Amino acid sequence: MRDGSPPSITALLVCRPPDVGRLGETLLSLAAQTNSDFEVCVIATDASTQPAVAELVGTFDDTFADRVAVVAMDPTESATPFALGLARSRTAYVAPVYPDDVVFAHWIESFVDHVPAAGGRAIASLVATQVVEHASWGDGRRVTTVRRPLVVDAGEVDLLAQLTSPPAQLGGLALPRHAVLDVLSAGMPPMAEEWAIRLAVALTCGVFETGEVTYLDRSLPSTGHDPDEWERHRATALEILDRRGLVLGGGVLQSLQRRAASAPSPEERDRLRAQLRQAEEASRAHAAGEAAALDRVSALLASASWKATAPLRAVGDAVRHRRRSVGHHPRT
Amino acid sequence: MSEEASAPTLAVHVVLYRHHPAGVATLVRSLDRAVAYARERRSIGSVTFLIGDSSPDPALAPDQVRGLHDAVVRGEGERLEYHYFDRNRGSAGGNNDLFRCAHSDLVLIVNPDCYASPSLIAELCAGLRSPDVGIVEARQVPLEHPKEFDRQSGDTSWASGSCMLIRREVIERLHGFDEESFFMYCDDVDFSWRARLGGSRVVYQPSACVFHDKRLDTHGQIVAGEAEVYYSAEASLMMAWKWSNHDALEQVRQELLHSGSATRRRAVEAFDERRLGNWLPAPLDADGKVAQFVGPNYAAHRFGYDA
Repeated sequence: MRDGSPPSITALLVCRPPDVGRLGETLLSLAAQTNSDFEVCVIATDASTQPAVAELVGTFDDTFADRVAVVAMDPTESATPFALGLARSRTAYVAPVYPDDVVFAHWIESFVDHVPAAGGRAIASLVATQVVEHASWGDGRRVTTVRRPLVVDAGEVDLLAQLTSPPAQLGGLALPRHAVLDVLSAGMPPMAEEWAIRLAVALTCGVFETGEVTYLDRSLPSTGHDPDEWERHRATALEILDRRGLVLGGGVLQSLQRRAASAPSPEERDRLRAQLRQAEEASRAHAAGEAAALDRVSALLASASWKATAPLRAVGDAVRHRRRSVGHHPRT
Repeated sequence: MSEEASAPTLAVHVVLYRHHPAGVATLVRSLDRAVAYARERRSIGSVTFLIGDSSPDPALAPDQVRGLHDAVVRGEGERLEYHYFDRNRGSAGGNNDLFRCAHSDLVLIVNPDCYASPSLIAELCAGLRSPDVGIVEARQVPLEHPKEFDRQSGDTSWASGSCMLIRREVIERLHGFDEESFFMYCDDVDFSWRARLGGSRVVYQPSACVFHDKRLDTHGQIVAGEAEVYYSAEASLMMAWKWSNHDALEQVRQELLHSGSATRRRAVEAFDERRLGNWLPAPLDADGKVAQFVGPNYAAHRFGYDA
């Protein structure tokens, strides 16, 4: 990755061993971006994957390859790959990309153009999905063929639907890094990590929708999660979010989720939406208050003498320790 | 003779029209990497980059051309030339002009809004697996061309001019693209069909990957500009005429006239004027050996990007 001032966005890829062969086109689409105000962080989940990914990156033109960091996870690392990538990135926004997915040439350009209007919210582009089929070529090589891409998520972000949705991915989103760090510092269960990020960031920051199709989700059909295990992980994630006071407190999210999952009438859905809007407002006020408090602490630390600010520095150290701990929370 | 000398020589064509210098530099850097990758594998020998410019004013300033030259020319094995045409030659005319600038064994045509994968050229060369293969087409990312191809041999009806590798002898036999009939769309379809009519095969090489900056609108359709609408309408009429499909010609004509688009109507009027003036090319392939009109497409498609 280049030195100096950080770019606006980090494209964050988690690469597991089976993904290496599918990473080439993803990297190609990143190298072809019309705006270069981004860096790429690839987290290789095991030591054997890292050299293969680094070699692949090295085949690209230096002006792109120099902006890509390939990080191998330490086998003793307890953080999830996503949390590790987040801790390594230096930018205000992070944009997850999945191996085998590709982005359109204006993916970064569109995010960067919309940063001022987004005003700190997450930035959501439209996602096209495409079925990919693998076939054997005449000489035994494998080829992929695709079907027509379909544009999804064309409506507004629906938090109520999100509460009961299946495991979610984060493709097409640029997320405020601090907000994601905040969610992950609570120690989310890995299976529900992305789902929780999507929900919590939408609650605390809001979502700005660009209306532009810039991401092509070509993920292979999911191997599927065990439904019971998924429910358990989601319940844990909701419990953590409720406990952290991101919303109204006292199990509000868990209660909303249970009611939303019980096939409510249209009237009941309207009531749930109203409650969710309240939760959203409370979460944003809470997040804004926390940010303002941190700003005040920082300002005092910068302006007063060391002696006078010693107690505040202790507070700052504690805050920094909490932020660092994002890389060390136990897997659940 | 050294291996380097025996490997086929390559000319890389890029025809510009008001393209931004930064985008051109990005493309050329990617092509430079693809050239280095192919030369390491002895797929190609010496290389000439030919940049043609159809813009009203030069798209590249002299220092920008020098910058590109310095980036790709490291020795006697590489050359870079910039040719300002001083008029809009379209893709067909621009490439024809560039064909005359170098006498390489192979020619790679790349659209200026593309970005080459590192293995692009080596994989395209691998597609020339037998002497009868005259044209090899790359796979486009993110929007793959939906044209059908034979899963065993790779044979396909035609190759997209966004990125294709051509043997020099095919170009010479066909006297290049038909620039009199096709300004910027379907010149590639016509070229491929004439190549096949002369006995050459056209193959699709999915492992040769090129990024082509095509975008989707919110309905999942490819975003097309005004010029694309006009020239593709004009080309669709010309294709039906030149490839002897009178039913298709009348159908296309009616559809364009009743599409509600003034741009498409203008294209019909321009075609009718040429027809009245007897300025149309002599029709080919009267018995339909090569030409394939399948609905609005030139070949069977697996899917469409339109509605």
